[in-house]
Amino acid sequence: MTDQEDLEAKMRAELEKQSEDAAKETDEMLSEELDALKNATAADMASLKPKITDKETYDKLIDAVKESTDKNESLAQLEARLKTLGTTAIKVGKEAVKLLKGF
Amino acid sequence: MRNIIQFIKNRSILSPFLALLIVLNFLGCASVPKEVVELSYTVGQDMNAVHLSYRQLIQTHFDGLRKQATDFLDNKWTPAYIKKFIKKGKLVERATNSDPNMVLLGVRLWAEVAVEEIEKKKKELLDPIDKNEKELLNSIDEAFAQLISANAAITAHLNSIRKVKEVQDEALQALKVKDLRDKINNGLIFASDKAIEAIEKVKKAEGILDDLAKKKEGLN
Repeated sequence: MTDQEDLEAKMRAELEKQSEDAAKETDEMLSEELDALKNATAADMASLKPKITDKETYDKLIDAVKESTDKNESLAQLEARLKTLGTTAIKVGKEAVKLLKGF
Repeated sequence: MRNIIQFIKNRSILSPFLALLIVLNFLGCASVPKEVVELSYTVGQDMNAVHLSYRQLIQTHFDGLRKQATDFLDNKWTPAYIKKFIKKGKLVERATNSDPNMVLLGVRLWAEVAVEEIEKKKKELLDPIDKNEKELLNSIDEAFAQLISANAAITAHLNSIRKVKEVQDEALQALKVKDLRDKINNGLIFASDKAIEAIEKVKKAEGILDDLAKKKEGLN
């Protein structure tokens, strides 16, 4: 460390101590106003947070509803599946006929 | 249910055989108009809007608290602190040093330390407000996410019921019995309305009997 740096470090440390004292005295002088401000800006978190049903209950209910929805969706797709099945069956049938003709 | 069947029988609206069919179909006959799905979807969309508005309100509230703290810091605390630090930090002495290099160093360090102290105080005052705001916003986000997710599940379910109904309609149409199901439904609605009327009449009769019982007690 050079002399200049050493001097600066010492001066800074001295100023920091003086600043800390000045801040402490300021806090004491304005203690009432500081307390009032802290009270005014402190939010009553418990009363502000929404009190809704816990996530676990929601998840359980949502899962049950989703399961039932999936069943309904599957049922609703029955027609389309049957059509696909019919088309595929005809295609397979045609292929089979072609194959049999080959013998 | 027995009363409804009896009622239908008595009304000769449908044959007893049909009454049995009604019982079998009773739970599967509820109608789900497309507006129900639309309404549920609209509620989901509006919930998003309410969520954003709620967030905005919270942020505005906390901005107000931050302003209150910053005003106190700028107008009360900082001037009082600077006044004290000028004396304690010997600013005049540092600024009037005969060595210009020492003046530059002393005043620069004094200013840097003063700014650091004010920033420290600012952090001390604003951090709890920021923390509370973040905590509250998180809990609001979680709550709305739960509600929106639940509503989406309900909307999807209602929609699936509608799809099933459409498939049923097509199947019944193919069997040329869709009209029959509609008639059954209408019959059930009619029966249900009549049941309400009957319940009201029974309640009325119950009231009359109570009155008579009281009068009889009075005579004895």
